[in-house]
Amino acid sequence: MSKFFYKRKLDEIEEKARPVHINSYKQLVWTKFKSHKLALFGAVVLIGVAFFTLLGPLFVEVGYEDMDFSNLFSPPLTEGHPFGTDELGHDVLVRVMYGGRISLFVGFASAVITTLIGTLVGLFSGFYGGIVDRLLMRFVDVMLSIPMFPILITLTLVFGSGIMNIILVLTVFGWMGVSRLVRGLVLSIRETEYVMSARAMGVRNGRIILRHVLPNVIPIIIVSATLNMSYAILAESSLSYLGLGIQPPMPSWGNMLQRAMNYILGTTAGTNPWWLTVFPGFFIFITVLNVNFLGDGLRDALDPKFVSES
Amino acid sequence: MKVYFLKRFLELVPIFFAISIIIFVIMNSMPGDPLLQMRMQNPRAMTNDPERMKELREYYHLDDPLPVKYFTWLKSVLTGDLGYSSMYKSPVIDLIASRLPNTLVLTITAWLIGLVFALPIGIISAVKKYSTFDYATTIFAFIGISLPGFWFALIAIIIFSVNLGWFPVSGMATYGITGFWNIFSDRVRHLVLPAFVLGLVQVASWVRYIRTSLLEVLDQDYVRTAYAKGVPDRKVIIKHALKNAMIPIITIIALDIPYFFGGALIIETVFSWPGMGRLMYNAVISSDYNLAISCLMFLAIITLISNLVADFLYVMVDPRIRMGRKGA
Amino acid sequence: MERILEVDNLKISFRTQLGKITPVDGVSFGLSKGETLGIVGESGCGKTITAFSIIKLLPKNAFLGDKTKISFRGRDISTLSKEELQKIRGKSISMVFQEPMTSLNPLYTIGWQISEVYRLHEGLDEDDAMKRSIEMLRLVGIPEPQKRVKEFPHQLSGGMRQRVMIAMALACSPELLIADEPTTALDVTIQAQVLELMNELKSKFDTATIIITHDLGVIAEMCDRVVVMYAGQIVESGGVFDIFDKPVHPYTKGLISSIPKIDVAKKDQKKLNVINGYVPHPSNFPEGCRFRPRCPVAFEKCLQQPPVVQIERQHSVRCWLFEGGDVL
Repeated sequence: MSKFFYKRKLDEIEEKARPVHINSYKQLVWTKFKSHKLALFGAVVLIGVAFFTLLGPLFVEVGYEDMDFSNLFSPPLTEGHPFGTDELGHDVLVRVMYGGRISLFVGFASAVITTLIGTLVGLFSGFYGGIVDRLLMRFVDVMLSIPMFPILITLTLVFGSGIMNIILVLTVFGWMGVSRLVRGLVLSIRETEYVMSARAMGVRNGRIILRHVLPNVIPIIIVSATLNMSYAILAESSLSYLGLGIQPPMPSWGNMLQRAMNYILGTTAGTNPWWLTVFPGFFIFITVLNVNFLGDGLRDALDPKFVSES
Repeated sequence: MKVYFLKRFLELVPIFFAISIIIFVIMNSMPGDPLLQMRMQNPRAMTNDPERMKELREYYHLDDPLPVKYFTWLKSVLTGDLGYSSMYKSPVIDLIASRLPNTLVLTITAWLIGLVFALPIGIISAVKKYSTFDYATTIFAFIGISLPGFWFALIAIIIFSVNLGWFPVSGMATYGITGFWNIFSDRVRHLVLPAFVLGLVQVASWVRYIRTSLLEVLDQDYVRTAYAKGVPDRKVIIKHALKNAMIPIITIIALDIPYFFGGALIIETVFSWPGMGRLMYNAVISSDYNLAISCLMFLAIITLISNLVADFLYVMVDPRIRMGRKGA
Repeated sequence: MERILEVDNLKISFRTQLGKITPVDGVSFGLSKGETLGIVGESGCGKTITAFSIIKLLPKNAFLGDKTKISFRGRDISTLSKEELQKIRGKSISMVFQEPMTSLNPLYTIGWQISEVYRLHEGLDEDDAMKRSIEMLRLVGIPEPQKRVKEFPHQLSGGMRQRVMIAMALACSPELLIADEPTTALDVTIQAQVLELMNELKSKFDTATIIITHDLGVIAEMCDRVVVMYAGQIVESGGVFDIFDKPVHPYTKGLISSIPKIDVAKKDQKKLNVINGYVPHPSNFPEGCRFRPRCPVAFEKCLQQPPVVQIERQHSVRCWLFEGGDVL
């Protein structure tokens, strides 16, 4: 329970731990990342999911709109329908695959765009400071203090549904968190001695930003991007679940769950199609989970001061 | 110290106005003409007469420029007139007042559940860093923040309501029950599933935060001093470390209160809980302008209040802030 | 003269993500009653970890070597249980740390923090403990102790906080006091005051003292015997006059001669001596003599670990240049 050690002396650890010589930052990052088991697991699963959603449909003959009338509400492992079918005979597996494409695309696009915008704003605001910085950050603070979800709902009505609109909705306010983080980092780097001496030597601002500030900001924006991606996937599926995001017949993991909710108490035929709820949601869950694992591993690996006790 | 709070309160006033402008602008960007909406919802009560329509447009300030509209709206809000809900056909204030307690019951219960679970788990996993318990907690925390709330709710319903029959599927109460204890237990049974779903998801993020805060404190020099003085482990953790860690923890727990309201929106929808979240959702998708904008403003006010509360707690616990800086 | 402390073949290793690191290897020294020992070396030589290891104030991933023995008054304290160690810390062996700004708990009054040792080790109740604390504050030269006792650390200056730390450490009259860079974080004038205070109290309480520092001036002022550390090993040890007047190890000589001297006549002034190179990181110690890469007089034998050789009665050195003497 204590923070400090009380064990007897042990030299047997001699065999298990070997001294390692670290020669470069990249090597340090890679070593730390490799030892983060959850992150490795996450990376593997995500690659699996990506293959599943992107390449899966190539191996299946059925489309996501094809209806198999002889097999309505079939449970999983029915002939030809490993994940079962829904009320219109659509194959759940195929719909999950296509839905995955949408969710992954929305998540990825949102992450990239918000990170780009947020980084630019943060860099600019932090580096040049002044009244623009103050106003901008006030605005960001105000927006960040309102719970985002009700605003997102309202925005979907303003912009409409559909993939590009959803991405728009998610990015309109999504860049703010990143910008605040980046700005904070820029502020502290700006006051470091090596930046001050670069300025004293007359190096132009642009170069300073590029060569000194940006490399230090990269770890934080990578981690932010992963966090944003997991949030975006969750938000998109929540919005689609509420009927506001991706509209049928295009499947999204979220809107599949919306349809599933109608049958949660059972169908008129008396079956309980649990697979309609379980599969899409499960995929949302494991995708987000592993993005989070990856993000956590990246954060630990990229932080130069962090070397954990094994 | 009273001066400090007055200052903080005054600082919130411009923020309140800023939020109101943003909400107003967003709400007014929604497509659809209000008069047409009203006619669609109430074809018989609405006239078709163009003269009358023009009068109505003037009465409702529908054609005024945006800033004017904003100030008219602001004025009525500040005088307590929140308008009339076109969907429910009753004053907005009444609707909010009737639904608010339901949401409060749900959110407060969920918040308490969150605390009761997160605090001990977070503390133990920090103290026993890298132990099996800690790894299990970390995984649990990851799962919690990755679960889509509504999916978790649906699964919970499938398992506990449909299959096991322990809890009702939806709603807040069953009709036709008499007797105090019957009503009480019925209400509790309805509350359990939504409150747990809402609370457990929050536990996940709190646990990580508590763990991190405590770990940071445990790394501090004064904790090492306490050990060097021979203070036993338990006392170091509770008296020296925890007290310091509680400062950021209390702040986060108070600041997260708005998130409970946001999360309640989805949970209330899934469970058909008659609360403000569902009211807000219905208002927004039916373009019930008055109701929707009032709900959003209400949420904003809750956020500002919880910021103030967090500030208050912070000042209470930390003597450095309480006293200002004296001495060299 | 009773031997208070005997550290034999101290080896400290850490288990990290990067493998096993051994920052301290083969350190041996001892201390008699009333003596003051100085451990001097540059940052990163392992002197602080050495000091911490005496009362096992190292993190959980640290472990001692098999042959390491730490005897306090004849008793091996390196194998004590948690509870037994807690009885010694703060009572028989105390520590003073480097950073007075962060070594005191910001949420408790200084009176409470000092009386904690009394309550813990001498079983006093709150009032008696507080009275004794006020006495200790008076002893360390803090004016108006009855008032100060109710103040919080942030209300005191750095010098005063360090006095409080000293008061806390000496409260139960320990036999051994370990001071890790006690004046490094203080202004020069305050440094002098604190050192003078320490000298006073040392003779008053007859406490054996270990002072860790990189400042040779402090060593000269306070210590009877000195141990010079480099890269986790002791390279030279002896009386304070031996080290300053007759240093033998190339590293010690380099250290002594790199002190700028202001009282030397202009004609005798020489260029400031500099030891080229950097202190190696524990994961990268050189083969053989660890000072070899920076040593001006290194030769081929230095590729092997040099033995520790005694050259005078109380003066020994770890270097191949002195192979003739008695190997210790």
